[in-house]
This record gives sequence, structure tokens and C-alpha cells, in this order.
Amino acid sequence: MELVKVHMTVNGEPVELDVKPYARLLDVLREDLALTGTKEGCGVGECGACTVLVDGENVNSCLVLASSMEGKSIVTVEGISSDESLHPIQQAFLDHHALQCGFCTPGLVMSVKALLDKDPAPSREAIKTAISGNLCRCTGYQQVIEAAEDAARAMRGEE
Amino acid sequence: MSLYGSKKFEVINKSVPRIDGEDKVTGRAIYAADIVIPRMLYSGVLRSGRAHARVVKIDTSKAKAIRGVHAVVTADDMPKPDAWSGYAYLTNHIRHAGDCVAMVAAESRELVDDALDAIEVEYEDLPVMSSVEQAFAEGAPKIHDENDQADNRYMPSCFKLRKGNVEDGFAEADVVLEREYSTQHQEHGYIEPEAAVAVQNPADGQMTVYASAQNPFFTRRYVADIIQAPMNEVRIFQQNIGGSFGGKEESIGLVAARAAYLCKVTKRPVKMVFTREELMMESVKRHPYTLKCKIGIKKDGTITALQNDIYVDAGAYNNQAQYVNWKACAHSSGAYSIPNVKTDITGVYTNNIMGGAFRGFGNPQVLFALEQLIEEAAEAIGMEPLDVRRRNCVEDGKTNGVGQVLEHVILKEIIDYSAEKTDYVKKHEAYKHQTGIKRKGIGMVSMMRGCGTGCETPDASGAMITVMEDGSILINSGLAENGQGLKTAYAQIAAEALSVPYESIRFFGTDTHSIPDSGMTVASRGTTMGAQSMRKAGLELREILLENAAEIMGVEKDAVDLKNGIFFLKADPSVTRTMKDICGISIWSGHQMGHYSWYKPPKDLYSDHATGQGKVWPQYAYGVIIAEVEVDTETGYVDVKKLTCSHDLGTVINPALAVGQICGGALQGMGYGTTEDIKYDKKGVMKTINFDKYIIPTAMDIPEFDVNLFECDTDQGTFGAKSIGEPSLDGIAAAIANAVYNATGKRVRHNPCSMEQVLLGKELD
Amino acid sequence: MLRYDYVRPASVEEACAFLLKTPGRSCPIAGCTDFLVQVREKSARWKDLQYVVDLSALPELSGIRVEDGIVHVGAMTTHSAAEHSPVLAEHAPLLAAACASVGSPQIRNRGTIGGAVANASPASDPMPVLIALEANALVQGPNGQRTIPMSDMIVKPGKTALAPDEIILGFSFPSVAHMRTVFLKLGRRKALSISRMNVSLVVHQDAEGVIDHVALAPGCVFAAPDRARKAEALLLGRRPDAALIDDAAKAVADEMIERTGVRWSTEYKQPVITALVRRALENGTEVAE
Repeated sequence: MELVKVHMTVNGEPVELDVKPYARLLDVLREDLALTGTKEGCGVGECGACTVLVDGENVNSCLVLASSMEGKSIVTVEGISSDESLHPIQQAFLDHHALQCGFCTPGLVMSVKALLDKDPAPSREAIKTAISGNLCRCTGYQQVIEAAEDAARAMRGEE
Repeated sequence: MSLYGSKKFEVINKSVPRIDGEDKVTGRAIYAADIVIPRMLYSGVLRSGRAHARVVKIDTSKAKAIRGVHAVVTADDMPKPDAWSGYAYLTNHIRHAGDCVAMVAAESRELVDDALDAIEVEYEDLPVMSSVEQAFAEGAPKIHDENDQADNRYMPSCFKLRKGNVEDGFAEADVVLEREYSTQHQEHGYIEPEAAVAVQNPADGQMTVYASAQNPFFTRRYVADIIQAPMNEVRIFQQNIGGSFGGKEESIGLVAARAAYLCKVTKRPVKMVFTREELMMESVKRHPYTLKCKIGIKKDGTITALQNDIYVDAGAYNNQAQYVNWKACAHSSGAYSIPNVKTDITGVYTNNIMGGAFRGFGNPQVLFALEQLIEEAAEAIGMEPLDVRRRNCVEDGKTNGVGQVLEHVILKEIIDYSAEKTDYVKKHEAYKHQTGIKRKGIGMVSMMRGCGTGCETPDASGAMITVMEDGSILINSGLAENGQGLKTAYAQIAAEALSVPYESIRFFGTDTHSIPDSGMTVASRGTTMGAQSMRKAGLELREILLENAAEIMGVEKDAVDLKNGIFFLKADPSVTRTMKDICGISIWSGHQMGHYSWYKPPKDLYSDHATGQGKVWPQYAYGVIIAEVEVDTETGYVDVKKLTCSHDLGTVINPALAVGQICGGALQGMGYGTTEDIKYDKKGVMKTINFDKYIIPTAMDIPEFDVNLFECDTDQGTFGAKSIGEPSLDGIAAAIANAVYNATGKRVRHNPCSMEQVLLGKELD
Repeated sequence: MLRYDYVRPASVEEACAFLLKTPGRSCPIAGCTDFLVQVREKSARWKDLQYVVDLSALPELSGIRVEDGIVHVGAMTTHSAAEHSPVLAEHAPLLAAACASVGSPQIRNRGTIGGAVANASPASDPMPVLIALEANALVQGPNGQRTIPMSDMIVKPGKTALAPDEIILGFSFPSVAHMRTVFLKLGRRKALSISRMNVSLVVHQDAEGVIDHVALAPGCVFAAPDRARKAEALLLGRRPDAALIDDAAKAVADEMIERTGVRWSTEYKQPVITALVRRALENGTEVAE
């Protein structure tokens, strides 16, 4: 197999990598770049634990070939906060107890981010739709939805 | 007492933020699959894909010849291929399709896969028994050769409950009804598949396994067993665990053990991570029950007798059917005080996936039958089911199924509150007369559940608290965080007992080398019973710290008090010393700054084996579920619109965590009651092996949740706390089934209320 | 584990040339939402796979536009792009609706309509819609372009009419802006759901209320997605009323049994497809009083 050279931006930093042609973006993020906040739960695009943003859109990184990411901008959960401060979405998840085991949490955070970047004032239904590809078995989603609503308010500068 | 809000505490009873929350929202939290160790090998197992077979020949030579493959192991290569618990690490007698015949370790995941593909196995197929009916027959082929029963019964899982005399009770009744109900396998559906990384210290031989273990001490048994090492040479380091719900007991034991074995033979660190498909195939499920029930009721609504014959599909291995069945048996008359109860429960080996521990532990199955049976009986005498529930429900001074006289029972209050809040009676009557295509329904369940393990095993535990010289505090427990918030609740409980700020406490993952085994984090015991030792350690250490402070402040111990981490003189509260002051001096002056304490429950609990009667739990948690649904009568689709979940928590330790448990448990119960079902092909091999076919609820499927937290006066449980993990799920499927009946007039007696069941009254595959 | 090399052609011609050179050993890929699942499951379909040919970055395969009343949808149009397309909202709202019902946002952001069609999944959501729209696929091979009517696209489950060296460029169909359209889907849950069954309907009634155009394509009903011609024949030229709608709905169920025989699932599908078609027709037509 011939390695494929890929240039992409990961969490704002330019990255040049030689990836296995069949490698999934998920594996490259977790193994080559040690960004283990992105999780694998099912490998078939059902659970959303591996959700990252590619050019601003949330995708399942288990169903993306890393080799096809030439020129793309990728954002993972590690890319939205700094050491000093949490992203408002992360803060809202914390405030609303919108997590339990935490395994699906990075994916949920990224799906909420993809939504709020496009729609700063989503309806409750829009939030449910936006996170419908992120399975969570602990929370029943209730507190996640409340967190997303709160994050939207915070990002609009309200409260 | 009634709704949450009237108790007074300093730290508990409040929604403090999760102790591990920031790590988890940032993705920094490490789970076992995230761990990478230099020179680490990857590993995998070969599954037969046959439900019942024997290995005739297995050839691993081609796999072994692949460069970069470091170990290829079959059952014949292992000194002990059978696990201590009755499971098989590897086997030549395949008892279900998830059984493993070989395992490999190699330099990369690709090579692992190549090696597994290169193993050649010749099988002899054996007759497949994929139902209790097939397996539970005299002379049926034996699933376990060593089982002395000729009909695949697993005798330790057979229990009886005998209260009063049911024949007399049925004779007294005006109406006697007999009904059969059954339930399906349910998968826990935690999002993190099992993962373990094993590394052995080449100098001292210590085997360390980083694992997504629900119960690290339980996992330790597997690892010590497979490598035949003393337990003090095995260290399980629990990592953040991505959900468990009872599921990461046996399967993670097998994963951790296999990784450790491969680590030992290759002398390299080894990572083993299940795929979703593998965990579906090999991780235990909720046991399917068939419940043949008989109830006697008088025209005034008094239930005179209840009889249950329960048959349990235990699956291919002994898998806790004995514990689940014991608990189901003890709860088999639900939240009712019925004078005459007779229950027999029998577990049978089959070639299906094994049942095991799962949030609810027998209760959801029992409630699915009983709570429908109560309604069927109510209808037979023309009474509103709510009135039958109220008339027969447990109350102070009455006995439950195990004959225990109860106190602090607030069930009737919860029933009335919930019924009124949902306008249950009016809706329940009105919905019976609908004619449209989409019909609404409302269904109720009332329930009770013993808190903790009761007299199944003593609910004992140990906890340790250490105060550092800077005043920061470390707590440690033998019970483990499973995602439910145990670390947070324990930190609150320790802070409450010690009189220190919650923020000064940290609790890292459970390490089996750091604290004695405190039993398992199961049975919703973590807070109500497991934390008793944390409270005790906190109260005891508080006395020690007060002594330290008194000595350092030069006063008598009685003169000093401690509040919110500040020591002060009772006589003059303006004279204060901080925790940091006192501990900063204590460290150099030989004062004790840490304390380990063991909690042993009172010895008055007992259960008579012949009758199941006794004082079985220290206390019970009561609850009511009301489900509101809309049924599409042309497609059978059940849309759950609202779940009203009213629970008696005794004392609410952290309301936000409690609400999270309740909504999460309710949605898991909703999946159980609507879409979740394990399906097999004609050869008995599981088909529903990923989330595309095993259907769990998404965010778009959620109902409106109305959560009502009740508290009561009880001196049992840590600061009066009861259980909530399991009660949150127990009654949901039953409430949905009752609501579907209310909507359609058709009883769904086989869980779940799938589209086919609701429309046709049967499953199609 | 399936291993393969990755090829990123600069043009459709280059892609076709590569496919021609590597018959049976190459797979054109787009969003990979189906492909990588098949790879994981070690699908027999890819046992000889050596190359994936990435079409996703080819600009000539993207875009949705309408010209002279004909809607053109590029093969690389993602389900999300279709879902949110103002052009489709006006000219083929049922296609937008079907795309919006696929999987999850993550799947819709990657998966393409071209990919879904090329995969020939029997439970595809956009597929029956394209049939009801009487769409044609524009296909390019080494010898140039040709058109395949969507009703002929699926030969059997998992098998299309495409030659191994052919690539779908896009789909075109007449605007149905002036017609009524319906897409109905029945799944076991409200998201991440594979169609248990679905119904696509394009219908037009003249000034008198007489149906002068109807295309009714039930999904997961026939062996491959197709129009329910017998029901259409009943409806065409008639003014719909409750009885006619019932008859047409039953005709779909009858045609299902006629074409596929009685199967294990028929007991459920027969009444339910009848109900779903009836609902589609009730939603999609003006019923005479």
C-alpha cells in the first residue's frame, strides 16, 4: 500500500501527514495525532461518538477516509477550548449535568457546535435533530438539550 | 415528608457540579482504549459464528507464520481456558455464537485481522437450542457436560417464594385470571466498547491492567485466574468508564484476562478493544423471562393470591441467573401486600447469548407481567386499576412479598400525587373510547425495590480519606464510578461528613492496589449503602482532625468545632484556623491525617431459602411511572409522548445527578419497551450486532420527562439515601404496555411494543 | 482487514480511464458512508478491491440547478445539501424531504445522492423519490456519456445498471413545482432510521380535479424500488375520492404480493403499505366531497 500525503488543518494548525490509504480519519486523529477526545463507539456511523467538524460540518470520522481530507479543516473537541477556559458549550454541559459517563460527550459537544455555528437561536426541535446522530445511553438527552439551549443563549451574549 | 426540598444539609442535597465534568467535556478524560504504551501489541479473538458446535481441528500454523504476529493461542495451548466464573476465555465446545476459539497478538490491528483470517478451524455442528422450550427438555443435548441436570436447568438459579397459601387465596377470590407474559433480551448499549491494556512489570512480575471495568476487583479475579498469579500481583486500574449499567462485569473480565494472558506470553504490553459487533456477541444481556401468572381478586378489589411460574433463558453460561432470579423472586409480588404468594423461578441454559447483570436485575421483567396482570384483574372486576393499586399497595405496618413488615412507606402519596398531576383517571377513562387512527393511551406502574444487595451479600464497604498538608483532600473507595456520578456523590458525602468544602476533595479512579475490595458497584448500592463507609470515615476523621486542631490550638477537643473547612472555637467563633493551617502543622507533628474505615451492615437481615421469607432489605425505594403514548393503529408505531417518573429517594444526594439517572434510566426503559430486541437467524446466530439493527432511542425519540423527587424520613442508607439507578428503569416498559392497551384495547404480553407486536400481536422474525 | 490504495483523479475522464484499467478492482467513492460500512463488514462485493477512486472533490459532479424547467442534481450532492437546497424546496420538495430523513446530520453531511444510488440499497430513501420524479441518471464511461432512466437503475438489491467503468455524473428530472408531492417514511425510530417502508408520490390534478399525472413509488415493497403501475393506472384520469384512494392503496399491496410473493414480512407489510399509500394520497390530492 502506498501512503498518501495529506495536508490539512487540524484545530487551526496546519498538518502534513503520510497516511495509510485505507485509514479512517478517526484512526489518524486518535493514533497519529493523539487526539483521543474523539471516540469510537460503533464504527458504522450510528453512535456519533467520533463526531468531528470537517469544514464546519459535523461528520462521523469513522466513515471518512483520512486520505480524502486534502485541504480540509478539521476541528476536534480538543480544538474548541483553551487550557484556561472552556467553550461556552462545554461550560453549559458542565452546568447542566449534561454528561454522565462522558464517552459520547465530545461528539455531542461537536454536534451542538456545528448547529450553533449555523443557527445561533435554534428551536428545541432543531437541537434534537442536530444531536440525533449522537447516541447517549446515560442521560436521556434531557440535560443535553437544556445545555445546548443555554449555550446558545451564552453565545448570543445573553445572560 | 414529600417532595424534595425540605431537608437541611451543608453539601449534599445540592446540585454541585460533577467532579469529573471538566475532564469529560474537554475530551481530556482518558478511557482504556485511549491508552498507548511503548511496544504495545494489538490483539483480537476468533469467534466461531456458530451457536453450538465442537472444534474438530484447529490449525494456527499459517497465522503464526505471519511476520509481526507474536502469539496465536487456542484453548489447547492454555493451562486454564475456562474462567473461574464458568465462562470460557477460549473453548473447543462452542455454546453460543460469540464463543471464542483462538486469540492473537500482533504488531498492528491489520496483522491481528490477518492472523485471525489465517486460522483454519473445522467444526462439528451440534443441535442448537435457541429457546427455553428446546433446552428445557429431558434428554436435550447438554450445553454443559458437567451439569448434573438432564434438562439443562441451572439449579442454583432456581428459587421459591412461599407466603401464605395460594390455594386458599384463589378459593377466596371472586375472579381468578391466568396469563402468560414474556420479555426479550436487552443490550446495555453503553457507547464505550470494552477495552483493556495489560502491561507486566518485567522485574517483579506485577500485571497491571488498565480497563473499562465496572468492578475492578471483580475484573482482578479474571486476570489472576487466567495467568494463575496470586491476586496481590494483579493490579486493575479502572479508567473512565463509558457506561456500564451492569454490563461491564463479565465481558470486561474476559477482555482484561485475555489481554493479560497475551501480555504474559508475548512479554509485551497488549491492548484488547472490543468492536461494537463483538460486544453485542459476547457481552451479557438482560435475561428473557417467560412468566406464567395467576391472580385471584375479590369484587371489592382485594387481591387474595398471586402465583408466578417463571422460566428464564440463562443463555450459554452461568451468568448471574442465580442472583437475578433471586432478586426477581423476592420482588415478584411488586409493591403489593398480597396475603398469599407463590413464585417458582427456573433458569435454563440455552445456546443464546448469556443473560447477566443489567440495571433492573429481574425487576423490569417481573413488573412487565405483574403490572399488566393487575390491570387485567382490575378490568375483570370492572374497577379502575388505580383503585386496585391503592387498595393493595404496601403501607406502613403491612408486609411485602418476602413477608417483611414495612415502615416509612410513601407509595400511596406518590401514587396520588402522580395520578393527580397527570390527570390519570380522567384520561384513562376517556382514552378507552377513541376511534381514530392515532390513539392516545396512559398507563401506570407502581413499584418498590429493595435498596442495595440486601441479604444476598452483606452490603459492606471500605473507604479512605486522606488530608494533605495544604488542606486538600483525597478520597478513595472500593466502589467505582460507572458514569452515574459516584465520585461526585461520594465527594459530597465525604464533605458533608467532614464539614469541609466539596471543592477541596478529589477522587481519582479505583486502583485495586490502593484499597480493599468492597464488593461490586451494583444493585443501586453505591450511594445508599456503599457510601456508608465514606460517611463513617468522614465522621471519624472529623473527630481526629478536631483533636489535632485542639492540640495545636491549645484547647480541649470539645472547645473546637469545624465548619466548611474552618476550625473555630465554640466559645469565640472569631478565633479560627484554616484546614491548611492545621494540616500544615499536623504533617510535621505526627498527627494522623488519613483514615480508613469499614462499614458493616446490621446483621438482622435474613431470607429463608425454602420460602424466600425474611427481612431481606434494610429499606425499599418506592416509585410510580406514568407513561403517555400515541399509537398509530395502522402501523403499530408507539410514540411515547410523556413519562412521569416519581421516585422516593429517601434523601436526594445531588438533584441534578438524580434527574440525570432518572431520565437516562427511563429512556433505556423506553427502548426496552418499544424497539430494543436481540434477533437471531435460523441457525441461532445473533443478527442485531450493531446500532443500525439494535435500535436504541435517539434525541428525537425522547418523550417529555416529568421527574418528581420524593424524600422520606428514614434512618437507613447513607444520610437517609435510597436507590435510584435501577428504579429509574424498572417500571417503564410495563407502563408503556399498559398505555398501549389503554390506547388500543389490545394487550401486548410479549415485550417490546414493537410495530409488529402492536399491530399483529406477534413478532415476525 | 481490507486494504486498498487511494486514487484522487483530477477529472471524470481520468476517473473513468482508471476504472477501465482496473476492472473489478476499483471502487469509485464519494462520502463513504455506505462504503466504509461494507468494508468493515468485509462485504463479498469488495473481495477483489485494490483501489478506491475518490470522486468527492470533482467540481463537475456537484451543484443543484434548474434550467428550462429541468432540475439537475450533481451526483456528489450530499443529503444535507439537498435537504437545504432552495432549488429543491421549490422544484422537488419530496427529494429534499427524503434526503432529510436519511440517517443523521453526520451521515447527511457526507453521504451523497450519487453514492446512495450507486450502492443500490433496497432501503434507500432518495431512490424511490428519483423514480417518482421520472429522473434520469447521466452517466459517463470511457466511451462517453449515456442516460439511464432511474426506473431501470437498480437491477437487483446491491446491483445497478452501471458498467464497472461508469460514473454517475448527476440526475435530472422535470420540475414538479406545479404538482403536489409527498414523501412518507416509516421507521422504527425518528432518526438514524432505515425505512421499514416509504412512499413517494408526485401527482397533478387538472382544473376539474382529475388526476392527469401520477407517479407513485413505494420503497422497501418491491425487490427493487419501482413505481406501482397498477395503482397509478387506477388513479390516472379519475377524480380522487375516498373509495378510489382505498382501491389504489390496496392495489399497491396487491402488486407487492403479486411481484414478491408472500414472505415472512407480508403479514405486516400488506396492511401497512396500504395505510401509508392511502395517507400519501390523502395528503397529496384534493379529494372530491
